[in-house]
Amino acid sequence: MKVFSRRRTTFEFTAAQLCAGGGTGMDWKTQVELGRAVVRQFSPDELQDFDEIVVEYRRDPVRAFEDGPVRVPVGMGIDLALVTPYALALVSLLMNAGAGSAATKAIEAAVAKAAALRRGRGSDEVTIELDDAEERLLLERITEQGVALGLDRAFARALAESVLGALLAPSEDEA
Amino acid sequence: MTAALTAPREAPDRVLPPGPSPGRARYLTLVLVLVLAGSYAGLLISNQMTAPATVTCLVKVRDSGNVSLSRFQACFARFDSQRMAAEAAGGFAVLPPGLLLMWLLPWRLARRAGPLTRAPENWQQEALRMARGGTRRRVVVEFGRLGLREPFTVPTPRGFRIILPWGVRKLPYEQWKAVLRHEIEHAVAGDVSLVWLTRGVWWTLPAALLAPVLARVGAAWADSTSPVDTLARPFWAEYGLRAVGLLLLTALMSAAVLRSREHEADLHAAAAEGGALAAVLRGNPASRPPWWRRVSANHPSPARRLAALADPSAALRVTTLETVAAGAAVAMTLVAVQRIFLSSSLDTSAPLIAGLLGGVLFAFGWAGAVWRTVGARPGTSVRGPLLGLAAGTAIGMVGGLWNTGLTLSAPLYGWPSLFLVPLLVANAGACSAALAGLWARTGPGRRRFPRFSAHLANIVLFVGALWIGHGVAIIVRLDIVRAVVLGAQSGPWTTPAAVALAVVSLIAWRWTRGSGIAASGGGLLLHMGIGLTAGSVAATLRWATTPAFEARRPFYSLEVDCWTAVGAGLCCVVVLLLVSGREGLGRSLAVAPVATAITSAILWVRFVTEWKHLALAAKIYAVRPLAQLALCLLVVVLLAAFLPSGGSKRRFAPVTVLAATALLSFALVAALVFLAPRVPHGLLKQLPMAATAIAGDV
Repeated sequence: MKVFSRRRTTFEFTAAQLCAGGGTGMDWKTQVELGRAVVRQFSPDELQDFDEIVVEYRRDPVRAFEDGPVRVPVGMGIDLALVTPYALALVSLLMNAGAGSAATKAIEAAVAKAAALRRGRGSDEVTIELDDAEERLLLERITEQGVALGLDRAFARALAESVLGALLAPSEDEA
Repeated sequence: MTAALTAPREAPDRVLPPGPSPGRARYLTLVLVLVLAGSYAGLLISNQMTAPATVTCLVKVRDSGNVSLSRFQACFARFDSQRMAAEAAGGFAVLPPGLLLMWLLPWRLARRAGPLTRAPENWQQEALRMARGGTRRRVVVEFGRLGLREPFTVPTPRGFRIILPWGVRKLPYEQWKAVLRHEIEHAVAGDVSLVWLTRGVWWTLPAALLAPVLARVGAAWADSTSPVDTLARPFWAEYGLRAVGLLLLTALMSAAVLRSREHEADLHAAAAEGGALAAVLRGNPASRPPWWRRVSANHPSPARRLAALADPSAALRVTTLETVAAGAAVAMTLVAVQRIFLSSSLDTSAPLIAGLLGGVLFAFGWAGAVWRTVGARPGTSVRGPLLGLAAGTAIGMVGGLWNTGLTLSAPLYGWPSLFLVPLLVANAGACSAALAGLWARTGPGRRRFPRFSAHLANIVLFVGALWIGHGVAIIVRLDIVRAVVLGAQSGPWTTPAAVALAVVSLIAWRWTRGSGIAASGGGLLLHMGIGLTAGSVAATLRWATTPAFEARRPFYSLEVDCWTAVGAGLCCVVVLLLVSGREGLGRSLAVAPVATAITSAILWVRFVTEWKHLALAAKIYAVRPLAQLALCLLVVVLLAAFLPSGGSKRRFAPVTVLAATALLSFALVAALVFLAPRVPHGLLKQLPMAATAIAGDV
């Protein structure tokens, strides 16, 4: 599967949009933890360097995506792309969604479930007020944002499903 | 994110085939052909500036009543320096900007991949350890920005920067080491700068090619004529087509070399780091791109790279298409250099200088790939690459930018050269491939490529083929009968050709001695026996049957002696090809010159008491038969490449082989003695001056 779209678009996001809470405080912590959950599900190989990547990401989140992917004419010809920056960016964009939207509901549910798990209670206690239509809409929105970040649509869709899955059904490990 | 690839069959011996990489020579050819195209653009501008003077000279020559090229050249001579300056300026318009881009393009790429952070010390140490012994230049490992997805290497004035994506850190230790090793191998191969130089020159050339067109349009505006009408003339259409063809050819060839060097770096990395690189490649998409993407891609697909790791010799095998491209590029360089020198004070040396350059490029760019192919799998047929070489050379001789407006009216050295030069080059290729086959069979030691011997033999073969090809083409143009009769006797290449054949023979003997040839054609003694038998039988018979009238016709006698010696050599070729199939050609190159030299020596001794100039006679008897044999081999040995492989077929007893050699030599000399007096006397008048002089002294 292709990872990146060859289409070059103007990068439309700011550092503030890509780092929740400006890269500090509770919001940033939540973004990092939710991002970690996505990476654990989608690309567990990256977990070992996750914290270092987060530091690099926080330093200049826009630089990770602007100008599109670097096309190297005389490179090695293999794809060693990271998922972590995209996971972090998508989570941040969801967190920045307007209050009461499907995105906010999903984030709130994810945070609540994680908290419940941390407290040693079952995550089933947390109810998710997200119907199928909202879920589809949310999936579509995350996919679009992935494309806007420079991902290939099919790959963005797969990552969006993973993001949603990680948010709505956190595993026991995440506690 | 990724789709697993089907695992290829594991290779029993996952190493790079022995033999040189043709990459650097091909890059050099590309740079040369592109820079020379810039020179042509300069020439066109100069031609536009001197057009009034050209017309004046043409009118002057016409009015003088004695119309000749030399008179025109004399009239136009004052503009020669201007023309040469314009050609140099055209080249300079391409090369220095190309050199600048050689640094700017990788610098820009590294900047786009940044901000760069220096990799931890353990990465630097690992890189240092891997590069040790391969390159003395400094290697620095850095990580690019988070969006970087592919490792790459860029040259710096003091060394190399290996820029890795952060994603490489998610790989297991063995796998990131394999990725690092792959990049280090590019640095060690020493062609990183050449890759960027080729790209730089390629990007600069279109502007230079456009300059004469713009100059012409400007001149049309100034003359108040329509620029559209001016550019609609066939010359400019042809110029445009050739320019596009050149850019396309060089782009495709450059991409092919890039793909080949990826395979080479993969194989080095796999040899050093085991199967880790294959595991990295398996983690990439397994899609098979369409053919046009494959042909123009800078990288082979992961599936192809995995296949190459499993079977290196198949992946790096020289292809017909690649030899057509390489042959065409070298021939274009050849024609350009000839045309530049032909219009200078070194005009008579033009074929020699161009032949030297072209021969070296063929030796490294074409023969390198063939030797690696044959070295990997002894007995591999290279018929396709040989035909590709001939076709590519012919295409390059007519298709280059320097032939614009000339091909149909005045091909360089006439139409015969378009047949003769590619034919002789392909024959030189057949000799080179035969030597490669001989080397490849030398047993376990063959893993070490004999750099000096192989390059020397290849240079000698290809330079010789180009010199003789152009020389004979010039004679054929003047007098086809003289060319047929004299062959290799009267050109400036005669002595070099004899020396070259002796060198090739010595090198071939070295590998004949070391090869396991007993399996298919007998041992070293048998090969010496074949040479001795052919030489002694031919010489003895010729000595015994010398008719009395030859005392009155000494140079007739010399001619028959020479052909007898050549015939003895050719007998050996025929016998060895019959015994061993196409594998016999390599051994023929060892044995045939010996047979010729033996015959020649015996026949020279025959008159040793009668020669007035003993040393001169010795020189003629030493040089001419060998030079003639060289020409004969360069005309016919290509056919041997199309013979079946005889290595595993019927074996002949040494006595049978020697008897056949004696019989064939006997028959050949008998036929020669019978036919020689019947050759029209007029033909013999065309003997070269040296032969006439010595014959007169007898």
